[in-house]
Amino acid sequence: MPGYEIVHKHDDVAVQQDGGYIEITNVAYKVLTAQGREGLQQFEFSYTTSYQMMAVKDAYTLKADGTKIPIGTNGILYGQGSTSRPGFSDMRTITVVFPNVEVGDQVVMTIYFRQAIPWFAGQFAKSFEFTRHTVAHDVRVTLTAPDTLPLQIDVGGLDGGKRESAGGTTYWVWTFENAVARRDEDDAVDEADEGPHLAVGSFADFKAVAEVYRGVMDDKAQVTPDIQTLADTLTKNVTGRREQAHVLYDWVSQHIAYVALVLGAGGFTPHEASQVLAHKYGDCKDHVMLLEALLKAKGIDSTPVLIDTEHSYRLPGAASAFIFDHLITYIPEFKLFADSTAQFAPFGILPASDAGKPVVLVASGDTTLTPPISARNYRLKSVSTLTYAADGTMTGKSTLDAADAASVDIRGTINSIAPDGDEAYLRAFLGPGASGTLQRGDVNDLSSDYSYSSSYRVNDAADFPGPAALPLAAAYKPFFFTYLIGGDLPAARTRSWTCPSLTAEETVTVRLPKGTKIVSLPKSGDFAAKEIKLHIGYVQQSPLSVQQDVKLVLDHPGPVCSADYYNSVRSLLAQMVAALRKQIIYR
Amino acid sequence: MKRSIAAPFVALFFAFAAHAEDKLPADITPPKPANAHTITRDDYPEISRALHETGSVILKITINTDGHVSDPEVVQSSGFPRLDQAAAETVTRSWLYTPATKDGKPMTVRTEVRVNFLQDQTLPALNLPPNLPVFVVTKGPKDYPQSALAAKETAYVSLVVMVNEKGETSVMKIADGGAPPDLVQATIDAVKSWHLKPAEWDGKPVRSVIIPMFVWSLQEQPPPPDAQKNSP
Repeated sequence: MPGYEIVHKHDDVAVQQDGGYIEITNVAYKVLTAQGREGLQQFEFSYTTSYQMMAVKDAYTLKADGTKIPIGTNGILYGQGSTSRPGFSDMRTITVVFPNVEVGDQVVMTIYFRQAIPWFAGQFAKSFEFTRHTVAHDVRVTLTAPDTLPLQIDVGGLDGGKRESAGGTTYWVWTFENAVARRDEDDAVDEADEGPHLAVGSFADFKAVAEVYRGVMDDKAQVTPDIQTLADTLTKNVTGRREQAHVLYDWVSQHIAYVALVLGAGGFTPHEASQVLAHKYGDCKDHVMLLEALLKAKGIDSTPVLIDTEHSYRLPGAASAFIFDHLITYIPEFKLFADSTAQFAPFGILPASDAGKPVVLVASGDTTLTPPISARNYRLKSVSTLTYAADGTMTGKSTLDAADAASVDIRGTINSIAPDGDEAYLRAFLGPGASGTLQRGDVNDLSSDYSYSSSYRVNDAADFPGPAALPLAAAYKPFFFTYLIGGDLPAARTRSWTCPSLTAEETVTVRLPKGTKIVSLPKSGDFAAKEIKLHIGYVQQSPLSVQQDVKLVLDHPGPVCSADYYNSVRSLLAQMVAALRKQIIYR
Repeated sequence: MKRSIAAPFVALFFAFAAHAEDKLPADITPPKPANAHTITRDDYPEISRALHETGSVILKITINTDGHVSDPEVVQSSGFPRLDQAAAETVTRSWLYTPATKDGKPMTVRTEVRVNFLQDQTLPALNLPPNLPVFVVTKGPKDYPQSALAAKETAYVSLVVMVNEKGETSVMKIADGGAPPDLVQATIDAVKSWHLKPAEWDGKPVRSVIIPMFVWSLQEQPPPPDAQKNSP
C-alpha cells in the first residue's frame, strides 16, 4: 500500500494545432503513513528545454487543521540534467520540497507543462496513468483539441467522454475514482493493459507512427566510406550472409558502449551511424543506426523496431509514438530480431525484456510480436556434488550451463559480481560459514552457450551423527526452483502476470561421511499443473550416497498468463514447492 | 471537493451573471440570486487563463424550488468549450436563488443566464507563449522566381518553422503537396530571411514554432485557401 491517497488530481490538457500542448495539473495527496510521508515530501520533475517548458506553482503543505504552509522560494530547486550524457544537455529538473509534512497533512501543487515544440511536427499523443493501488477520490482529465487534428481515443475503466464541440474545438472530460486500494501483485502486467487507461493521439495508426520515425531516422544509417571499410574488414573471411550479420552484430554489441537512455529521454532523433562509429558510444537508437548501416554495407536489409521493455504487453488502441522505451533491430532475411545493446545477448537471442512483446517495424509500419521465451530457448542445467565430512563441513562443486536466452541473464548475473566478490556472492546462497570461488569463464564470449563452475565449502553445514535431516537443495545454483515455480506464491491473483517459461534441471549427488546411515529418502514424484511440470527423483546409489534429479518445465504459450490460470493451478504449485522442501533423514 | 473562494480574486476575476430571463407570466414572481453569482479564480479553468480564453456563455438552466440550479444547457457558446463547461459546472455547484413563486408558492422555472469569463489584464499573466497560429502568407507575381513566373506555376506550401530565442527561423518540416521545386525553394528562402520577435515565457525569449502557409498565385487576389485543412 502506498501510504498516501489522492485527494484530487485535475489534469487539464489543451492540444494545439501543431501537436504541441499545454497541461496544467493540480494535485493534492494526503499522507496516511510515515512511509507515505517519505514519498510525498519531495517531488522531482524533469523536462527538455529545447522542446518543453515547465513550472511548479502554488505549492503548499496543507496541515490537518487547515493551515497552509507555502513552500517558499527555498522549496523549489532548479537543476540541470546530467550533461555528460548525449541528449541530456538541455535536460532540466525541478525539485519541490514540501515543508513540515506530517501524517494527516496534504501536499498540494499545480504543475504547468508545455510541449512547446511537438516531438513530431503536427502529431500529438499522450497516455494518462491511473492506478487501482491507491485510493483516489477525485481524478479528472479534461482535454481540448482543434477539430482539424482528429484524435484516436483508447479509454477503459473511466467515466465520461466527449462533452462539447464549439468554435472548432472539442472538449472531453473523464473522471476516475478508486475507493479501495488494491494490493499490488508481483509480476503483474502494466495497469494500463487491463485496468483503467486513457491514451489519446493524432496518429491514425502505428503505420503513421512508423512514418514519423522514418522521418527522423531515414538518413541516419548511411553507408559512409568508414562504415563500408569496417564492414568489409570484419567480414573479410566470412562468406555466409547470416554469418556476416552475426559478425557485424557482435562487433557493435561489444565495441559501442551503451549509454542507457530510454527512447525519448534523449529525444527521438538518432545520431548518424558514422558519428556513432567515430565516438564508439551511443544509446539504443545509435546502436540500431550503426548496425543498420554496417548490414547495409554488406547488402543486408534491416529495420529499426520500436519496443517497450516494461511490463506492458498491449499496444494501445490509440496509436502513439511515445509508448516505446527502446529500439532494436529486425533482419527480415533471417526473420531475426537483434538487440545489440543487450551486452550479453548472442546474435539471434533477445533478452527476456524484449521477448514476446508487441512491436512496430519502422520500415513497414507493421506490428508484430517478438519471439517469446519458451521452455526450449531458456534452459538452465546445474550439476553438483556435495561431500559432507564427519565434522559437518560440506564441500561442493557445481557446474551451470545456461543455454540460449538463459545465457543472457546468467552472463549478466556473473558479470555483476565484483572481481573479489565471489565469496560474498556464494555466501548469499549458501549461508554463513561459506567460502569459495567461481570459475567464471568468459562472459563476453557470445559464440556459444555460457557455462561456469564453482567450488565452495560450508562449515557446520550438518550435524553428525544424527538422527537429523538434510535438505537436498543445499547445492549452489543461481536460481531457486521454489521461486521459479510461482514466485512468492501469492494466495490469489486478480491481474494477469508475466509468467516465465523455461527448462531448469538440477542433478545433485550427496555423499555422507562414514559411520552415518541414510534412514529414509523422500518419494520420487511427478507433478503437473497445466503448463508447469516438475519431476523429482531420488536414487540411493550407495549406502552413503544419494542422487537427486529435479526437472522443472514451465512452458507457457506467451509471456502473459491470466489470473484465472494462476488461481486454478495455485494449490498444485504449493504442492510442488512442498515436495521440493522434503529432506533426507540420516543418523 | 469543497472549494474555497479566494477572496482577493473575486474582485479581480469579477464577472457578470447577467440574466436574460425568458419572459415569465405576470403572475409569477421571478427567481432572484441568493448568493454571489461571480466567477472566481476557482471557477475559471487555469488552462483557459493560460490560453487567454475569455468570453460569454449563455446557458439555459433550471432553478428548482429549493433554489439550486440543475440541467444546464449551452445555448450560446463562448467559442471555448472548456469555458462553456466551466460555466455549467459553476452555476450548478455554486449559484443559489430565491426560487420563483406563484401565489406565494415556490415553483421550478427554466430560464437563460449569461456567464462572462473576463480575465483582468492586471492579473499576473502565466505568460505561456501564445497559441501559434497557422497563418497565410500570400505571394504575388513580383515575388516569383523567374523560372516559376515563366512556367506560370502556382502552389500552396505549408511549413513548420522553429523560431529560436533570437528570432531566427529554421524550417522543421515542409508540406509542399507536390509544389514545383523552385517555388518550394523560394518559400524556404523567404522564411530564412525573416527575423521575428521571439516568443516569451516568464519574461524570457524562448524557442517556439510557427506554421506559415505560403500561397503562390499569379493573380492579384488569390482565393483564400482553407489554411487549416492544408496545414501540416
